[in-house]
Amino acid sequence: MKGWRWLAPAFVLLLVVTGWPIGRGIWLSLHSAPLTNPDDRTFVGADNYTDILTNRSWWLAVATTLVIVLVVVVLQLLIGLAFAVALRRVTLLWPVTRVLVLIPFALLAVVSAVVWRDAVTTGFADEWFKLGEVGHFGELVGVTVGELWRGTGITALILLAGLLRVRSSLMASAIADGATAWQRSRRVVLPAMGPAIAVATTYRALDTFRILEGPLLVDEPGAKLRTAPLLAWDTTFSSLELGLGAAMSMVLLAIMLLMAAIMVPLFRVRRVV
Amino acid sequence: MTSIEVRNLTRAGKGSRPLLDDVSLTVPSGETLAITGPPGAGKSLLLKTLIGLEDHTSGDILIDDVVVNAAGPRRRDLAMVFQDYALHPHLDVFDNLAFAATLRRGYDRRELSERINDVAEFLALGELLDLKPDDLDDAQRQRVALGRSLVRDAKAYLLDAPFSQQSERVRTQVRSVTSQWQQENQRTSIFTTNDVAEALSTADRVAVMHQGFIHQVGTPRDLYERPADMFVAGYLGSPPMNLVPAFPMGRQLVMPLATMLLDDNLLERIGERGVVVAGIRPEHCYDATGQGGQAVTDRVEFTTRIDDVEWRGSSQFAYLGYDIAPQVEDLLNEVEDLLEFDLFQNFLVAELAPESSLRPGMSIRVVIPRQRVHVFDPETGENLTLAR
Amino acid sequence: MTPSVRSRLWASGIAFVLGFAVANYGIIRVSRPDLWIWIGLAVVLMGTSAAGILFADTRSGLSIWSIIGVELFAVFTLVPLLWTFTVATAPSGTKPRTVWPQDVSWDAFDGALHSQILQDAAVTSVFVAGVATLVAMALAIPAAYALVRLPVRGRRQVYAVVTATLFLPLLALAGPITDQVLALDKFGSRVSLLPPALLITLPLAIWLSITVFRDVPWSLRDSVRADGATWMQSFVRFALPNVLPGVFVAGLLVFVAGCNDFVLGAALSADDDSRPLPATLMLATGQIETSSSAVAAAGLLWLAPVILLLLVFPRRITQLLGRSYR
Repeated sequence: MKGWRWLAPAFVLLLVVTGWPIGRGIWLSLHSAPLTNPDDRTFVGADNYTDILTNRSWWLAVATTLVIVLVVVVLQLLIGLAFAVALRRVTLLWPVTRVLVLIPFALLAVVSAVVWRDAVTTGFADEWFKLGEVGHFGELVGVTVGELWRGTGITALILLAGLLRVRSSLMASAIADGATAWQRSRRVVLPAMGPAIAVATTYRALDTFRILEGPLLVDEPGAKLRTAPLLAWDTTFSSLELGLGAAMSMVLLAIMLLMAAIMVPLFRVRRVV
Repeated sequence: MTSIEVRNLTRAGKGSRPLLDDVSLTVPSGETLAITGPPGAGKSLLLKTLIGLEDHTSGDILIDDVVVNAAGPRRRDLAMVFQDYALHPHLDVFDNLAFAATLRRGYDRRELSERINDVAEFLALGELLDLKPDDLDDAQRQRVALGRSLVRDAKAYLLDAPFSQQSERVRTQVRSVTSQWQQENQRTSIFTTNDVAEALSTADRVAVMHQGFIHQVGTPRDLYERPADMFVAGYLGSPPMNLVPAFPMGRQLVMPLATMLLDDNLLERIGERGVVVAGIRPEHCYDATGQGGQAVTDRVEFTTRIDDVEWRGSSQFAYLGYDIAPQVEDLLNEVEDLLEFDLFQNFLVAELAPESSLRPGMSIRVVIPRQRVHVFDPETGENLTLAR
Repeated sequence: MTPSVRSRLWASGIAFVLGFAVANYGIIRVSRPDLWIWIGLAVVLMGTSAAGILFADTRSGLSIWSIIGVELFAVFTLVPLLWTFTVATAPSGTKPRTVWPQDVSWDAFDGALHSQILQDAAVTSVFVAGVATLVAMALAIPAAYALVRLPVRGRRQVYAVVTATLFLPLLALAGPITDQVLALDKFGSRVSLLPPALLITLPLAIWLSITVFRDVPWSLRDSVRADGATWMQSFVRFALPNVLPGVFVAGLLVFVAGCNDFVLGAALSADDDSRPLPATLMLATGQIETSSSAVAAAGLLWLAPVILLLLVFPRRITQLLGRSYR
């Protein structure tokens, strides 16, 4: 195989850098292991997993995360699609908008989380909409809006790339066939940009699911609403229960795998190399 | 002055059929050879193998009688026009034209630019020299690609479908200036084309290629009048030769619609075969009442009903339907499957003089000169009439 | 394609209603100086509405809907950016309440530029991301070339693995990696950040390089070879103009992604010396005064090179990202 000679170094290294921590994670998850004392490790079998899977707050966290993902992705898709449609027609401004569209994405997630939290607690959103005391829930909504804001540009860009695949001759022929605007978007535009929508949905969903900065920032002791990644982080690095944290991480991986396994065939996500 | 020779060139494919199947060709210096055949015949692959971009499994390539199998494209020193133009997007037309020439040391900048201007002039690119390929239409890009290879002083020129995008009127002109240029500079060239008429009209000799196999090489007239096999007969010509199943019975050859008397020679060559294929070119069918028909002496005659008529101004096509027995149809389908090409129809096309007013449903008497009827072996495809 | 008169009039109507609502809400609920932002938006929307009516019955290709869309897009993007700037320039000890900056103070920027901690963090980020990018690109380029151009058995599977690692939640691996680093007694060193950084850079590098290589006009390479170019000539005259810019931009994007990682940096660094910038901004808030404005200022400074990048290669970046994720 001529191709493998070129491919092998990258692929092997990739497998090593991902496979090693995953393997170690699985091994750790079967142990009770405090991070502070590496010698104090005892094999506990699937205990960590049963702990997690029977824990109500864990499932609450998973549900919270999934709700956030759902809301953020749906809004990002809708707003992104509207922007993509608009940006496609106004080509005159393209040099400007093309830069503008990516700036939020380039801003650090930490920074966006901080300023959005401030916006809803003491800043402009509070001032404009008279939010008053928003509490932990309000802050969580704030950083989620921040995440939504960060990801909309790149979503619009992906959808725009899909939209550009709809040739104007295709549109013209649909109009000549007497298709209404609704039929045109349903039967010409949507199928052509289907792959782009599928990729955008999957990519944004998986990307939003793993976000940590915002929830970590607004987290406070005794908060009811926590996201699953935050819980895993907290267990590992604050409670220092490495084994339990690793088990949570593995469950997280499994959930993401499940999400991908559902979404990829469902939306027929594909890209031919 | 360069000659190119190919001996038993074979390139194995993924399946059982090779991509290039024992190709042998000789192109003497100064000659223009056209390779024609349906899409996927292996024409482009053959050119890329000749120039050294693709490897071959066995056989030899000789340039000026030197075997160059192991030599890279630079050593072979041929110029090639690519089907998809292969223009550098970041260079303007002038720089694209200059590209190949500037790869070698010792070119004279003034001379080169004069030459580019000449080539641009005769390919109608003079106005476009400052534009980038993205600003051109397909026809213009193709002419730039053509010009790119002509600017360079190569041993020989390989042109892959070089005129395909040109409009009908420009095409004739581009073709003639290109071949004129070649004659003036005495260049050997090989070009591929899907267009049979182009191959016949432009080249000194034509090779008919299909499924990686060269079916016949010869002068255009030779190919048209004496096709070596059924594929060549069915591929050349527009509309192509009528191929009908025929049954030898004693001294008679029974075809649908007509029966022909066989001469000794042909009778001997047909031998024991139970079924053969008879080939008749549409323009060799005459209306018996017309001028051309009355002049034919040694003739095959039949009367039938006209199914449909297409009037073309300079001539008219009459479609004369007939039935084929199911067993024979199976045999014909097998042949078509093997060749991956449609050869047979269940009607005969006759190209008749335009004067008479023919209508569907009319009865017509058709005459065919007996010497013009070709007889093929349905299994090997071999033309049995060639020995006569 | 000219939009119909009816569609334009509808768009005008919507723009007018939107503008009217914005103006009223702004006047009633929003105080100065943000009021002017609201009124400005209202004026633009109403202007668009007027333009829509004026152009309704012309043949110009203008789409009022798109113009409204772009206007809303600009507001959507710019207002939070302006807010970030306002937060960054708020004088220490105050919390800004309006989007429009009222007291501009450059202290936070000054502080961020001179803060030893942030400087160290930036150096760490750039060092780690830089090395990880170089390694990743060096391996990814031949790999992407093989995937695009050469026969590879199991191409789909390889591709699936690359995609999967691209979306891998680093967070899930942070614990095990930390444990491993602790076990090797390398905790808190910059070098310990390198192998995990490959988790981010390597899949992204392969993924983006694939897009780059798919868009290379490969038949041109054949043609350059057919013209008789030597190896060096085909490198200089084919690869340099046709492949290198794409690879370079891909590398820059990988570098940015590597720089912006927070999770691994936060997990793997015990002290400020070896902590990358994003993690520092989050975790070292104790050491940086008035956290919000300092964070925002550092974030904007960190953003500056990226914006520069976007300004220099706007086309390539949008194309690469759009086509990669498509």
